[in-house]
Amino acid sequence: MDLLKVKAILIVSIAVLALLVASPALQRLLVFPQTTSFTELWLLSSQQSAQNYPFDIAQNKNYNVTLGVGNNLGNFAYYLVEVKFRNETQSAADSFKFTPSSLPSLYNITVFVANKGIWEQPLIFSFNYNYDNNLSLVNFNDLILNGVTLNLKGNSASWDSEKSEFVGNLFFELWIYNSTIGSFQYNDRFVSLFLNMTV
Amino acid sequence: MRIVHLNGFQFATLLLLCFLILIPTVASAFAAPTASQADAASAVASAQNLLFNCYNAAKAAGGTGANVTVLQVALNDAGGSLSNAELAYSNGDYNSAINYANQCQSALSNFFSEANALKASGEQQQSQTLIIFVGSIVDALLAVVVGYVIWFLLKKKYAN
Repeated sequence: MDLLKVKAILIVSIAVLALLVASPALQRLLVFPQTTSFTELWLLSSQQSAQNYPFDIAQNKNYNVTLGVGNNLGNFAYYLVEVKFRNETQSAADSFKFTPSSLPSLYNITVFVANKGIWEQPLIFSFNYNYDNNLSLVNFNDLILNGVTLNLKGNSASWDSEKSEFVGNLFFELWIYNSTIGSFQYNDRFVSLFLNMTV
Repeated sequence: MRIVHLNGFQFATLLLLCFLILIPTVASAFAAPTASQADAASAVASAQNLLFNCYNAAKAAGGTGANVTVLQVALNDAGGSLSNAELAYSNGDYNSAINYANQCQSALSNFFSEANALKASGEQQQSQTLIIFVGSIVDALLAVVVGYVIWFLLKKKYAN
């Protein structure tokens, strides 16, 4: 056999063999590194989709949504979801300024998620409210969330004549535990439901 | 029936005696909520600290690449109890706050041993992966060297 052919066969054989032997190392080296770390926060309707969310809220009637958190931070994470409720005039979380609402949390949902893991929790909520005498104001009494009664006394929503609604806003802010400083920090994310209080 | 008439001094003494007997009862009735609040605050703070420590243990175990799903489930279970304990405390329901805080601590009773076992197993897996990684690179280099030696010998043979 021609020496040149032998050389070619040998080079190809050695290259294939070296690649096969090195494949466990190459598997690790050729994986595209994770460059962005982020957390996902979502709210789905009862049909597990991003549509047909509850809007017209009758007194003491149960409504279902699903809250979810996805962790792509590269490590095990400890979150706090602050449940808040406001009317149109009260402080809201700001998507552009990345600031949370100044309102106090009604309830804190503690969430732990492993890296690349997700957490989902069905939420069943109902509102106990009543109207004032001339039907211009809704006074809230309680929000019942997954069987836990949260006090809403002192909260009210005025009639919005433009929208023809009594608007209430139930929202969920995501906070994350920073073990370096030993406290929770706002994670610049929130999901919310705008609700119309109707009989 | 004989009616005893007390003078001013006797009446005052009797009144003082009654007052001294009633003081502990009245004081304990008023002091009970404060003591319970302190107990609840302490129970909730203990549960919070335990949860932070368990989280750090889970984070360390997760850092080794171990599957920490079991730890995540236990932490979320305990976290739910802690959330309820904090709510009960803020509502002034100190007994419930203590109960929920205790539930939180119970849910994490074997947590550290599980987290340490998972961490050890993850570290072992990591070292095995490292050995395979280095071994495969060394083997690939060896294959190239062997190929070069074969080529060298073949070239020598063809030259002859």
